[in-house]
Amino acid sequence: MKRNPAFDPRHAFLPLALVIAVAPLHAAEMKPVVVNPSFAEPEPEKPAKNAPTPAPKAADVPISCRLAITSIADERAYPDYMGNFFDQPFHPPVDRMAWIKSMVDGLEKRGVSVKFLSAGEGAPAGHTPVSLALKTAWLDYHNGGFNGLVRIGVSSRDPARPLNITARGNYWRTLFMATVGGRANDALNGAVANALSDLAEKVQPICQ
Amino acid sequence: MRRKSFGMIAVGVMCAMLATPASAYPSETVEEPIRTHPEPMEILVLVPQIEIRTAMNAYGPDGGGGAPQGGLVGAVIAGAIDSSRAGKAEDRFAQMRIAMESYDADAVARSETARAFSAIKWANSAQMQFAKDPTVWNKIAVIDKAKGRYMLAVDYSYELSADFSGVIVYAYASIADKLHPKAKTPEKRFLPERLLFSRGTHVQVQLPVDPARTREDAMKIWTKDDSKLLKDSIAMGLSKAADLSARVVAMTPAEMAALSSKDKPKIMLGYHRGRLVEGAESLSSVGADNALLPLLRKSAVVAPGGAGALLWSGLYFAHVRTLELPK
Repeated sequence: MKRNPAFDPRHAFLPLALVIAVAPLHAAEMKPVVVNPSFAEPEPEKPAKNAPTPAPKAADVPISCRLAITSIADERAYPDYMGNFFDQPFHPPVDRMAWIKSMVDGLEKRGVSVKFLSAGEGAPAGHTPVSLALKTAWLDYHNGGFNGLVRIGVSSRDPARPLNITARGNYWRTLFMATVGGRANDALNGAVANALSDLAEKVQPICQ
Repeated sequence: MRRKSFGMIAVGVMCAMLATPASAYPSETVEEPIRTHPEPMEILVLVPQIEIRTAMNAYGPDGGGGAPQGGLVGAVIAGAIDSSRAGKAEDRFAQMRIAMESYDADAVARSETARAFSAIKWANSAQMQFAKDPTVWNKIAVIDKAKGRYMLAVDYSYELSADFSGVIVYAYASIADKLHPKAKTPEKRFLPERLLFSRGTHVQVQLPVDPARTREDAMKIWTKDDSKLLKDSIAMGLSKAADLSARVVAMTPAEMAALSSKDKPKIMLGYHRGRLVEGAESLSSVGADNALLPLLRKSAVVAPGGAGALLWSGLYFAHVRTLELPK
């Protein structure tokens, strides 16, 4: 077939490819991001080049503390908002209780066994009854990365073992070669993991 | 073929540029219809952070520090180097965040904005709105509920400089029109070219110059006595940023032109270059009278204890103040 010398459809390939490549980015630009419905332990960091061979992975910390959670509350100051990436707001998942429970489940790995009590249920023997609240879950985009912040409060009204603590964790993830949602979730998971480690340490005074 | 494809791209870019006339961009000062509108302008105060930030990143010999990097350039640099180093740099800053946990910067931003804008009769400082969410979706919700036609958003952020030598407060004031005739969708009222006015303000409250001071030394100074100095400095920065934002919003074209008059010396103040508006008496060592200063890109030094120096860059105000440390 003889081509029209004035217009060769191949000339439109590059501009068209550019438009196709950029269009989804533009569409996604302002779409709100809902964080993952449950907490997942962050993947361990890759060892640096020429680093010595890492030691075999240690087994999970043995259980040294048993808590019975009598109540869980979402006490964040801004319940439907967790930060933003330009015009993309971050929202928490719909089922907040399941979300917070999934975070608390991570204590098991850190030597603290957790049992969630239903209303009116007494704490089993050997468990300290405590109430737990998620006080902060925030994603701050700054300096080319997300800084996650999580604060978890734990209190015990047991006069023999009173406790009122707030554990916290920060975690920073760069946004290089990654999606906004992916890295925001990474930063949040890292912050939860650090907050749980802090919590496992701070609850020791009331452990049986 | 390649040459023609690039030609088409170039033509496309030029068409896009021509489609946005320069006159569509915000005016330099707030125009009369906003000042004389019967319903005073709604004010929305935004503080989209809950902790102090730092300009520190992984770029630097000790895994945290170096020149402050931001935006896309910062993202590229931060990504090109080992991200775990950046994480460690943030970890070192954690004790500063913990020390500042009880500090409520939101309350300071609200009260200082209300105070600073109370002198502007055409702004509704008595019933200000406050929000954490700076996205366009939140602004749409606020402007659509507003009684008046115009909304002023003052967006604050505060951070510690890369070397921990100073607190930096930014404020960005922008005015949107609820009934903008050219905005075909609600969010397009907040496009930069659809805003009726927008100006940034940069305020820095810094420790006296000490080349021997390390980041750890600076952290000790800031966090001493329950972080009193850091808290006071953030409050000072927010207060000044609110004052300058109100000043730039209220400014008339004649006042704006006077800021750039040639009788005001050109200086470098920190990273900012422009004309010295106030505080010539605060400048020590290399002063405002040194005509070579902007050419050398060497910053003037602000003497400790004074009210600081104010510079007009042609686009924004920059104010630098140096603290006097107790002996």
